[in-house]
Amino acid sequence: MNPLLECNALSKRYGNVTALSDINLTLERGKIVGLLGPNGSGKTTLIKLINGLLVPSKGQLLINGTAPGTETKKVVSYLPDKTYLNNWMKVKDLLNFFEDFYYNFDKKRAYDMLEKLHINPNDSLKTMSKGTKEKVQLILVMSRNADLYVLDEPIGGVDPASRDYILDTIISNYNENSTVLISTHLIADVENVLDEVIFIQNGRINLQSSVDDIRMKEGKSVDAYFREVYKC
Amino acid sequence: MLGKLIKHELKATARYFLPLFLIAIVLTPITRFTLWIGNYPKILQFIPTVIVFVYVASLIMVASASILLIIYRFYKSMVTDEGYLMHTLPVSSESHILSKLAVASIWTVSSWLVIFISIFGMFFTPDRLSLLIDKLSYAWFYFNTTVNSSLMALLIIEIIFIVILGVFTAPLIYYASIAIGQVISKNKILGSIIGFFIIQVVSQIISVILMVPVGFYGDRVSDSANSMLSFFVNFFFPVTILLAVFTQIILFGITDYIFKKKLNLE
Repeated sequence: MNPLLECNALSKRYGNVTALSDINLTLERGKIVGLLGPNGSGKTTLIKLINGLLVPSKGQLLINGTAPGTETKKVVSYLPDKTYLNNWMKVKDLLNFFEDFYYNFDKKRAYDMLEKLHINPNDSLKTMSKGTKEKVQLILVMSRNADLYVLDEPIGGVDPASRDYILDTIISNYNENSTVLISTHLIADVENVLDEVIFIQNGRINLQSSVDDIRMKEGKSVDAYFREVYKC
Repeated sequence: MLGKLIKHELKATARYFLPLFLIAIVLTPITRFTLWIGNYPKILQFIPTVIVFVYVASLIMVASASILLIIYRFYKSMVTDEGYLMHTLPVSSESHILSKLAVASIWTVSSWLVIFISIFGMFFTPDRLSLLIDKLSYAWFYFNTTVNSSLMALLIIEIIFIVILGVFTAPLIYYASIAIGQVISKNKILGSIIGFFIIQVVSQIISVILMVPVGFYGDRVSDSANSMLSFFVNFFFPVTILLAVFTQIILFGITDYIFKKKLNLE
């Protein structure tokens, strides 16, 4: 079986600026992985490459052994750090949209989550706050039975009370064959759910390690260790 | 997947077009009735003026809406934040462009139909219709007696082709402009406008170059109707059609290549 995600000497340049340089990375199935790094470290570039929104300048990136394309988009569920939803649509229109295009979309699960978070499926998006829209987006993304979930800042705009529910949702919705990659600044909030962390800086990977190893070797939490590594 | 894309694109655009079409259609009998009443007292004479103005404005809206909305929809869903959703669907970029193009053509042709129906409804009387039929059958008879009939048939087929191709050309130019725009500039709207001018200049240069041989051929055409017609049917129109197909393939290819390799969502 091919690894879920594999990057070999992956580089991405925008003109003269190098965003990612010579990344070698393998992600296994059944993990929750934190992609951690300061602003401009290359997190979003890596995520866009995984989703086929960018093309590598050098090297390769494979998902289930295939370069990003129509096939990989079927099994990667992506939450961008943008509001990508049409304002004029109702929530239930969006569910239909996702059901139409993603064979692995579980509509019932989506309706359950909407109910839990008190979101009315008949509301149209233009009446919603930014945080509610983010919740809807996350529900859409997590209601797919994907192999790889890529979540770019999933809890940034959501109130702390909902964060716990959302993190619970993330943990309870992935299965042993799927992996969740979470990019975030809010390390303390997600630390407890992570199995593994990747530290990225200036387009290079500094560290890929299990959370337990960090706690054992360094004797501190990931959050504290992150602050130490990236101290300004 | 192409079918689903078309379905969703139709839904997303119908909410602009259907109300516009409805307004134009409903205003037609109202305007006609207002004019039919005729003698208005001085103080009420503004009524027909206003109604005719609104009616004409609605037709202009219908005529211009399709192109404006074609540009707006493509821009919004392909290169702004909505692009994150569209470009991560398990759908090829060819399907994206084809679905947009199909829906654009449907609305373009239906706007023509609405305008035609409305104008027809505005001016139709049995007398006028029979006069029109008379004139048309006279024209048809005139052509048939002076012009070679197989040339005539070819001419009609070629004109149909040119019209159909014409429906696709404008959207494809705008699509390529928008795709180029997001590559060449941070400001995507400005970039698209520059992209549009680049396409215009290049296509002007190419068509000027291609028109040179047409000019040479044209010089040898005599004044007789058949010779003129055969110049158009056997040479000018086929060249136009080939050129249109060629242009469309290039424009489609540019847009497709950029979406695959040079997408630049912020």
